[in-house]
Amino acid sequence: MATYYTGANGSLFVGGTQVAKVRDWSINASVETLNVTTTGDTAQKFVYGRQNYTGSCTALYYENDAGALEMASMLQNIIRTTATTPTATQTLRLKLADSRIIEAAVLFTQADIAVTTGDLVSVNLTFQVNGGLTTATLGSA
Amino acid sequence: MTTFPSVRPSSRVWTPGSRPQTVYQALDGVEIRFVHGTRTVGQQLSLVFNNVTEVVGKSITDHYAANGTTYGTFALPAEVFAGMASYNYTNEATNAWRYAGPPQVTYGPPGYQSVSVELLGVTA
Repeated sequence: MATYYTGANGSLFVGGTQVAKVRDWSINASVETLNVTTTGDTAQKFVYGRQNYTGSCTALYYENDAGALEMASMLQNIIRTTATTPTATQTLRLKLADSRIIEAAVLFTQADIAVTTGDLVSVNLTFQVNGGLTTATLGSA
Repeated sequence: MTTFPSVRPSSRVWTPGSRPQTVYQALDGVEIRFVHGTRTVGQQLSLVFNNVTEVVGKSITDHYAANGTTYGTFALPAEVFAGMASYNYTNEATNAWRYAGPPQVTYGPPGYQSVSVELLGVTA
């Protein structure tokens, strides 16, 4: 039976822990192309180069029952008083179903916190995947 | 005399040379030139090989080393002039070439590199 997915199927995990109040996530996957055209060719030729993945998500600024900020793990390397450890990465898993997952080490690179009268405080985060994906069943057959 | 590897370049810049000559200029500005030969000297050829595989890139640097770096002379294969229906005028029958300097290798993604070489025409 055909299966379609909606936002209701989506979830996001950081370091193996699901971030409870995520509004949306997106990931942009690309592969660079290397121009291998030589003199004598009448059309441009290319081969694949390196992959690159970036993405973003929006999460509600939310404290759980214990009073802890749910999304602290996503902000800790951006909003801080000391220098960020250069090699710090976090494991991010974007999931639609158990068989539809993207997982990778990421660097959260930007956090836009929006505080608006009459609306919940939310944080828009962008991330950069460090290296290749460790799980990529989101794109497999 | 060896032959440069048969690799098509990504770009090629040819600078025609000139015939050897001596210029005399009189005090009144009149110029007299004496041509000393019928062969062209001072040709230059710049070749860029973008995103070639490591094997291809190494074939060029290996040729440079095996050729005594900038010492030896060599012939150019037709592949170097790919895209030109006639290229004899850039490579006179008995002309040879030598490296003007070491090849420059820029490393790209794993397995790929770009190589550029500067060649000088040698009247052989």
